[in-house]
Amino acid sequence: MYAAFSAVGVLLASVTACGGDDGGSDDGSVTLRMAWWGNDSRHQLTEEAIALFEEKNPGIQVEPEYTDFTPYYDRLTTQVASREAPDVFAIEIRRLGEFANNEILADLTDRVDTADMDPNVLASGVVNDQQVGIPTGANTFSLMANTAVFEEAGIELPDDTTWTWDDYLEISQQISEATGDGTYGSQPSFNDAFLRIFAEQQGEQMYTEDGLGVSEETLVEWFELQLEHQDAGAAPDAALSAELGSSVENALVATNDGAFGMWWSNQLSTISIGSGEDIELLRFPTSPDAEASGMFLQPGMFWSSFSGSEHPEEAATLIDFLLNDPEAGAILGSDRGLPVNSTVRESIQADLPEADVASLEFFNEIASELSAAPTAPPLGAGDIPDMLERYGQEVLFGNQSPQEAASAFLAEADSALG
Amino acid sequence: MTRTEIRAEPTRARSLSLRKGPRKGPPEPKAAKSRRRREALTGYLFLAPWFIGLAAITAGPLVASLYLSFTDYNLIGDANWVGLDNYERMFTDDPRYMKALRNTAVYVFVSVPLQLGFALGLALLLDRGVSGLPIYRSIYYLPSLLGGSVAIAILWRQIFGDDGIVNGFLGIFGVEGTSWIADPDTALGTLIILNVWTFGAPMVIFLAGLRQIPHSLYEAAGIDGANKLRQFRSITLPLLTPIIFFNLVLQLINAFQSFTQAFVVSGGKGGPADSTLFYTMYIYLKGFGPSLEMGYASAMAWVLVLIIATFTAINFGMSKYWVFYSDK
Repeated sequence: MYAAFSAVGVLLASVTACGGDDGGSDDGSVTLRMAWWGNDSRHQLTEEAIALFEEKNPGIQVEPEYTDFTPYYDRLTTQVASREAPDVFAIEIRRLGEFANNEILADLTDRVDTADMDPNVLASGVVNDQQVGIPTGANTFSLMANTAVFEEAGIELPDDTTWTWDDYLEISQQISEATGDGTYGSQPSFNDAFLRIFAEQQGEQMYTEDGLGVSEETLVEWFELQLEHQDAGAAPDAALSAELGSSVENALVATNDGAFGMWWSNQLSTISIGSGEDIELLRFPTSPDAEASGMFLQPGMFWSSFSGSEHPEEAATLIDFLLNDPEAGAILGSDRGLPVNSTVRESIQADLPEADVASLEFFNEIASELSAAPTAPPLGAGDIPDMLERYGQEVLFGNQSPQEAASAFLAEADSALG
Repeated sequence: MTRTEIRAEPTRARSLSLRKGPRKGPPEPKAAKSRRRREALTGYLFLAPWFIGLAAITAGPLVASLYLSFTDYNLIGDANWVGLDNYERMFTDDPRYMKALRNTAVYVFVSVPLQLGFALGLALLLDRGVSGLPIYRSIYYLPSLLGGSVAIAILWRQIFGDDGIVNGFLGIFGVEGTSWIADPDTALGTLIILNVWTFGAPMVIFLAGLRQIPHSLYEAAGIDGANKLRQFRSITLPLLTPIIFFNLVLQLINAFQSFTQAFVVSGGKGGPADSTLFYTMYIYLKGFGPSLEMGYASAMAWVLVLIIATFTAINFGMSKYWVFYSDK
């Protein structure tokens, strides 16, 4: 009657798990299982690439196991628990450390050709000196501006090479005032990528060897900045912000209800399609005394191989094909971020959709200002992004002051990071 | 039930042997025994599918999770024994756990009485001989079928969202509403309303219960001059107490375990600011979240089992003071 999630059910899933076949067959051919998350268009593209792979590698069959994002890790971790994980699977940076430290991920060093890949981005997939994940593509967290909203407000786009956080607040406020009810200058973001940029500007690292590298002072400023936008009417009220959350479909810039939004560059096409207007990628504002732009390239996801796979060689061959084969690159395009392999990227450049051309231009523009790509966060850091969002909401709803939230966050983060 | 069945078996066997066996001496022990054994075997065979299911799908994982609750199991690695650490942490070092406990308690103790009240009230109305009863019954029962579904939870987002129907309605009167599902002060309330709205299931059971009450009792009371209210208090309510008790136990257990609604309405995070973080959702977030604290989640699950068992036991204990069984 109720689709209640019984307490026992959770645990049930941990012990019983879907079985899988052993992957071998009589005619000597090998069957690989491959898992990823995504939407329909990604599933289609990936299956096309798989078909091409099977054509080029007659001895290997690939069995796709794709899902939506929400159940993806429930399934993957359960499969890992029963040692039935797919041979090849996609994984995010926030999960990489946990998986690698439990020796779930095979070392792909020298088994996948990485010669043409940006070493800076490639380093994101290294944990304990092993290349446990190969980035599928790179993205940058950027400030997006909806030019139509700017026009409506009669305000010029800022010069993003010089603007400051104060300018950002002022412009956002002006836009909220100049446009009608329900249109806002900015939208709060508690994405950890934003905090990373903000901290880098203060000369602080998001994570150090000992845990969190962000100071309490920086955190307080970061919370304050977002609260100021809300109080000044530059951003929506707390309840609306919470409802919009981190869903890119609902982003104010995507619904033409907001001028600014902070999103990953690979979300540009979704936002452009949603708004139908011209969306510009901008550099983040800085403080006058900022030490760096703080912006960085980060792999959207990685291809990893299960350490318990019976066919490690074939699994590596498949990953190599997906990332280095120009024909595969042509099929997959920028679906998982702009290809990290520079040869592939150049070969597909002409066929890229408009939004990706814009991202690529933006990448080239900011290339010299970038901070180092993040490495896999330390153990226990997987919960940090949700934690930030939670304390961010406490601040916006006025339940906690920025100071209280910052110290409570640090205490909780410290205990999570052990 | 079980006891009478067990008692019935030897009686039957004896009567069979009486008919077949010789008058003197023990009745053919062999034939009777084998027949009895065959009957028992048939019984066990009928039980088998259920029993195998229990053993393989429920009992094994149950025991495993009890063991895991004393470990630091993270689903993808090895489980190391940590003794009572998980249980200690819950009550001494986890404010979110306390918040989840509080949210769940508010949800259970507000929504269940309201839901049962609505169910009983409507059952009484429908029982007064409304024409087209089956139609009404179906209409009111529908939410119970749908209430736990993802689709309804998404609909709830639409109704109580910033752009939702509720605010549209309030707008007519010039009242500017907030986003009810995204305001920490009201988000839990919308989930309580959702649960109350699914009053159809207990209502149908109440209706069946009302039908069981002999009409002659009301006639007799009417002749004795008892008015409707008096009849309700002295006949309907006492005779309905077993049904109320049944519904109460069932809905209480259901409410403690509710997950889907909060999960969908809050986008899987229990937000805003943990205001819809239910107990089961916190178990899920800990067990399957990025930190994969399955050992800790197992411990929480076992505490929930104890909590539900305690409340159910209290319910049964109290039942002898207010539940009236007419056949006793």
